[in-house]
This record gives sequence, C-alpha cells and structure tokens, in this order.
Amino acid sequence: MANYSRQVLAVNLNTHEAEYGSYADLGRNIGGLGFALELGIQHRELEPTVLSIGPLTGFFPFASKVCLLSVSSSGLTESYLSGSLSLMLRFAQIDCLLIYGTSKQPVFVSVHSGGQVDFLEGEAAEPLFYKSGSLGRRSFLAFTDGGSLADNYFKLHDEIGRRLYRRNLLGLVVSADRTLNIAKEKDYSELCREILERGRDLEVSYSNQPSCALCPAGCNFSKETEERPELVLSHCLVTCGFAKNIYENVPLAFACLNSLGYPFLHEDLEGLEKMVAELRAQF
Amino acid sequence: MKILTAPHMERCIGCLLCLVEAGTVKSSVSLNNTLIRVIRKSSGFGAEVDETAVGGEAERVVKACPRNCLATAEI
Ligand code: SF4
Repeated sequence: MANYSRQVLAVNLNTHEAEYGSYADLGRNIGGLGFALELGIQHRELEPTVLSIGPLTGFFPFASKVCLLSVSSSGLTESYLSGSLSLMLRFAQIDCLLIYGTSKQPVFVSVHSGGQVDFLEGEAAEPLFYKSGSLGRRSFLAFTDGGSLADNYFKLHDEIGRRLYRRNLLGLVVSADRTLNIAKEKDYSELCREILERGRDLEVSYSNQPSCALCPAGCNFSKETEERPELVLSHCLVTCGFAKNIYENVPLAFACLNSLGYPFLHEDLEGLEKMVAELRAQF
Repeated sequence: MKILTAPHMERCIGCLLCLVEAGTVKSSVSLNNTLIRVIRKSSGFGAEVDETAVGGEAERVVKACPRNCLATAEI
C-alpha cells in the first residue's frame, strides 16, 4: 500500500508533548469521518478535538476538506473545514490530529512533517508562530472566542474553535514537505482529468473567491463550514459536499482509491453508511 | 527558450493546483518543487516562480491553472 499509513499525531496541551505513530488496524474503515469517529470513541475520556483527512486528500480535485470532530461530555460536534489545511496535513503525513488537554498558559502549536511539534508558549510567541514553516507550504488556524479562522479566511465551526481557544490554544500551523507515491500513475492522471472536467456537476457555480486546496471553483460558499451528516461517503473521503454528484458514487470512489494503491473493496465503500451510523450511535 | 511566469496573479483563487502539478513527477507528488510557490497576501495571492523552469515542465504548470494566471515567456 503506497500511501495509507494512518498516521496519527496526538497533541497533549496539558504537558506540551506530542506523540506520532501508526495507528492500530481499523479494518475496513477508509478514513476521514470514520477514522475520526473511531479515534473519538477510543479516546472519549480525553474529550479530544479530532482533525481528520481522507484517503483522496491532497491527490484529487475537490478532496479539499478536513473533518473536525469535537468530543465532550455533552456529545459530539461534527463539522467540515475548508482551506488548505487538508493539503498540508496530507503532505505532512498526518492522517489524523488529536488535540486534548488544556494548556496552563496560552500556546501556539507548530506541526511539521512526520509529527514533529513545537509548542510556542505565551501570547508573545505570536510573531514567531507566523514565521513557522515554509512560505506557501503551510496552513494556519487561529482560535479566538468570537470566531476562529483557517488561512485567515475560512471559518471554523464556532463551538469547536471556541473550545480549542478555551483550552488556551491560540493557533495551530501545519507545514508540509513530504513526497508521496502514486501507485498507478496513468489511472490517477486520467481520473484527475475526468473529475476536473466534471466541475459542471458541482452544486455551486464557479466564482472568484479564495478556494479550498485542489478546488478550481472559488465558489461563494468556500469560506463557510459544512454540516451535512447525510453525506457519508463524501465525509469518509473528506471531499467537498458540493461535489456530492461526483463523489457519492462507489465505482468512481473505488477507482480513485485503487489508483493510489489503497486495498479497499467495493463492499467496504458500500458498508460505510452502516459503519458510520453504528459509530455515531456510540456518542 | 520559454520560461514560467505569473503575469495574472490578480485572478488567482489560491487553489494550489499549480503547486501540486509542479510537484507531480512520474509516480510521486510533493509540494517541495521549486517551480512555483503561491503566497497568500493581505489581499489576494502572489507567486514566486522559478524562472529557470523551461519547456514542457513550465507548460504543464501553466495548463494546470484553471484561472489562466500563469504563462510562459520567450527569453
Ligand atoms: S493554479 Fe492558478 S489559481 Fe490556482 S493557485 Fe495556482 S496560480 Fe492560483
């Protein structure tokens, strides 16, 4: 399997420590929402915020979102974030970022490829934070009580952003410099071309707004969060909900996964709705 | 000789399709290429391009941009 390492970075705000590693086998769970739910359940007592990308993220057009789950004693909040964080997580080789605990003092977290993390302590570290990583290959999240933003433009779900801010996390940056393999280059290129041509099937019109990574649409809704729990396959792939006419399609999703070398079967994709319903029911 | 240029970055939407295309070499992809970097500015986007990129490599990146921000220029 070329790319599917299921790498998880766990960031402990209590101790300012981080742990990076391959995660235990999650069977036929392809990633994205499914992976985030599994981790949320396994670490429920930590009340984590989980950021998860999907198996197509960083490779295919419109595979541009990040699944955000926030687990608390009152249940689960689920939202999808726009911007370039998805691309940077992919090329930092982080499938899932788990953030938990509360920092004693305000802190900025700078994440590098392969799970290396710098904790920049105190509000005075802000200028240093904005110098982290490499220009053009990084994505910033800034948390405030009154509205958090990714890449200084894309909105985070209010409650999820506020919860991180109240844990004394002021900002998060992910920088990316890894090289990844494509198993079947010819199939991959053809599929990318075909999907780009299907931009006309989006539920939104093309416009000139700042766009998500690997989305040519620049639509008027790009800065908004997405909450459409009915889109299970899209949310496990973590593709844009407006591209549901493209990606809510098992044969196409299977072909994309196959071109990257993922070992999943048609049945795995067909079984996602049931699997996600069972996982959601545990909250 | 043709080189890569970025004459119309006022049209850029920051989709980074150019960055990924530039970093796609045979069966691997990365963001580490030196051909192009797209930089978010206080308003809009700018680009740093490697003006030593020539020929097919430059053409490929130009074609990847959905907003025609990029071009090649004869030097
Ligand atoms: S492909 Fe074009 S629109 Fe997209 S980031 Fe590059 S220059 Fe900007």
